[in-house]
Amino acid sequence: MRPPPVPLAWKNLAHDKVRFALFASGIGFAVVLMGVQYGIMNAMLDSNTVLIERLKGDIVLINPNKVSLLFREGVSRRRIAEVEGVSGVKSVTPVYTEYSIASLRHTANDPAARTNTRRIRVVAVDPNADALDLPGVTAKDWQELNTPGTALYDRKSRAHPDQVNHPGESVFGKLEPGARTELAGREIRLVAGFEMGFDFGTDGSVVVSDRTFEKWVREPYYPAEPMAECDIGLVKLDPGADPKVVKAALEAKFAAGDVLVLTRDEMVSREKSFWWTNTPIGFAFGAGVLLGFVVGVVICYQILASDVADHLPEYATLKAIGYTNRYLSWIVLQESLILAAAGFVPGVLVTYGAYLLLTEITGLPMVLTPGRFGLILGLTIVMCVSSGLLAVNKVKKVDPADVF
Amino acid sequence: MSSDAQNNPSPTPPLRREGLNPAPPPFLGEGVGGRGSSPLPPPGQPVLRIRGVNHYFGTGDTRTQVLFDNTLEVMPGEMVIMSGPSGSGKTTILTLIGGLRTLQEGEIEVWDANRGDYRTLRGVPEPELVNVRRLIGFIFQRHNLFDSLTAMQNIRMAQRLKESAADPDEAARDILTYLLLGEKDIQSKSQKSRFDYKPAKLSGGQRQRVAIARALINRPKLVLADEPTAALDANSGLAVVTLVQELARVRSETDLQKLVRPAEEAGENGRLAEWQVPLLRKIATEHGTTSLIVTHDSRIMNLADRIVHMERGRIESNVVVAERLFVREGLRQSPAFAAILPEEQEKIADSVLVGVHPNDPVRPDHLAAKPGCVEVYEPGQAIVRQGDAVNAESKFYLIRRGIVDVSRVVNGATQKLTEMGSGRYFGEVAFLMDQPRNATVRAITRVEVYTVSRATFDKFRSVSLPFIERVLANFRAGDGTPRT
Repeated sequence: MRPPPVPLAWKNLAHDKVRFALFASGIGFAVVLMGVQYGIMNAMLDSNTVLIERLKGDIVLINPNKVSLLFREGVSRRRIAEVEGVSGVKSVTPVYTEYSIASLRHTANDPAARTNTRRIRVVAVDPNADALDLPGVTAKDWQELNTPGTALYDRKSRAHPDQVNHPGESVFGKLEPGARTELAGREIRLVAGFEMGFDFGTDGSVVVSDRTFEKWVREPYYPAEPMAECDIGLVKLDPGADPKVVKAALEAKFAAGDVLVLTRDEMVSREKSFWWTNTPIGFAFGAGVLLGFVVGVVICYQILASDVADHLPEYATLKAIGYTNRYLSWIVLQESLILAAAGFVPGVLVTYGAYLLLTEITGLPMVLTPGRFGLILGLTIVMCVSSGLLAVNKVKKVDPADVF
Repeated sequence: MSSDAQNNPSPTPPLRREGLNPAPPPFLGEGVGGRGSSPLPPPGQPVLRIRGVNHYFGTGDTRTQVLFDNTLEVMPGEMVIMSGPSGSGKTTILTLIGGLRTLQEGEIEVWDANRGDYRTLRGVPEPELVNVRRLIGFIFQRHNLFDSLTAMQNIRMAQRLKESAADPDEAARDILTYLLLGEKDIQSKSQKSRFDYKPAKLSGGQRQRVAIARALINRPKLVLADEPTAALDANSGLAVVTLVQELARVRSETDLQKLVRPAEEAGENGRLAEWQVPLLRKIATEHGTTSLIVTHDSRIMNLADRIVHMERGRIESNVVVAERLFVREGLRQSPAFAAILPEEQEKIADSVLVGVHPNDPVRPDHLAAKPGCVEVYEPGQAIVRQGDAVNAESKFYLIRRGIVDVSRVVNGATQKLTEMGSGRYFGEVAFLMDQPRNATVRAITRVEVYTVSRATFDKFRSVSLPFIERVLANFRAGDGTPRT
């Protein structure tokens, strides 16, 4: 009979509670560093894909050259209409976006409240097609949008930089239902607000009907065939239809290569990939995450190395009485895992708090999804275990002969 | 009666002193001759064998030799005291025996009771050394307990290394209680047990006792200790030493009860409480533990079975205490040596020692290692013959083991004068009187005899000449004629 194992790693760490709390806060600090940097990086990328995620459809059809929403590469409405007959397809709805031409200027009665012309993203759909998921926008609002010259506005448009004198205002001025302003030089009336947020390409968005879009944005610039192309063909599937099967069928249909068939998630990934590779976001914030990781490795190594140094005679004694290097290494690795857990819990709580605070301050969508939670946890474990593996060398070098 | 032996019968029976030359305990020598799981090595074989061990520290130009051709054998159940000045190599040799250092030159073999065979330490990889370490109980001068663990948990760390039939917690509590860390003190009064105390709440002596409990909890067959009792009070020290002794060999109830004495009688030697004795029996269910102890504690030194003295990296002397006492007593009983200066007499005795307990037979390698010290005769062989001339080759004999027959031819007829056994001697009259042997001594059984050469005798005789003259005067009758 052998006695139950002694939780030596835990006992060694938790023996001095104040010291342990300091250890945990050290690791927690590194977790916060990584978490916040990673969060900002994701927020930057997420902000560019909010529109895509709000599309109420399973499959999207786009121009293969449209590597980002920003690019003015349309797909033929006639071509996308061809998918109506494909098995499993319920409907296809054109979605229009405009970044470069559209601009908004607040024409408030008070001259001081008027703003300069500023570019804005215009998203246009058939209000009756149920193509966009915009919480806060009622069916009545959608119906009202059928009236030409009406628009839905983004309550989370970039905030006015002078919030002291312009509290709650966006860079487009004070946006509220019933407000009248100018879109592309023509008056529109704001019907209701939604929340989407700004991104790299725009300071905010308005949603209009396809007819308003045609009259306000397209006809002045593309008088011949203003609505011949749309930016996204949004495909809804019949209930029970397998998206993979339908997608394969659509790909077969568009084998000529003039239309790219993607799931909505694939389009999100494609958009993020564009921003990741074409901007320094990945490098800058990836370096921030790496910095947090390295800081964590150093802190954790210092903790483990000092623990080994403090217990050198005891570890030497364990070796002398017959414990193996493998066992002692496992003790150090257990300590690293305990530190990971002890640092992660407060660290991730602080990180979550920081996300809420930064979202409130900046408007960036900092979201701690289960996947991101898992990644930060994984990074924390790898960080501590890496330190543990470095510290293992110290314990391996303990000479049992030193005990005499 | 003209035999040397007959004329000078040694009255002392074979030495059987308590603790020094005990009758072979039932467990000793019970190892099986073949291989297989056996707690002890085959009869007459050591539990630890060191041969020609050299050791160096440093490399290149700084390489320094610290051990020089050391050879030692330790028999099962022996308590060996390592003595010598600081830097003499005691600790280094202990670390080599314990597998804590890599053996560079020479050979060390440790009996592995689990395998029923010796484990050699030469050239073995680290995992093998780990197995050797598990055979050994280490007691260090510094306790090296984990501050974060309680006394029980520190002991459990050692218990985790070995399967045991006993309830581990009960075993740990028993040994801690025996070492006065339980619910009773030496005066049998109740006290708060220290089982769940962490080292910070224990005194230096209490910590050391926990460390000793950790070392002995798995009943190792070999204990290596460095000043184990240095931090202990008299009663705790006695409890530790008694436990080590009990793990070595079974002691009688009477012997143990002698240690249960009033405080005023105990003095610096310490005492055991009445309740400790049955607990000791309960703890020490296995015997045959050998211990190598580096110590300057005279209380332990006096209990040693073997004293190994080291100087400048060499084993200068390796004395089995019982053998030394056996030979000294034998020489002291002989009138030929009785008058030699005591220190010279001791030198003669030490010069013939072979480092084997007188109860154990010598092996050919012992004879080869110390040539001329012990001679072995098979039954029927003559050791001395009547009429042999005394010359420079003549010797004095002290019977180590076996029985001899002393006879003399008188008028053509052989007369048996006597039989002699262990501890008796013969041959000294011829030495002193320069006369031919006056009787024949023949081995009846296999006989081992210590021999002192004429040259050795003469050397010490010259030093002690005035005393020899006095001895001669004793031998002369009142008329001045020598006795026969």
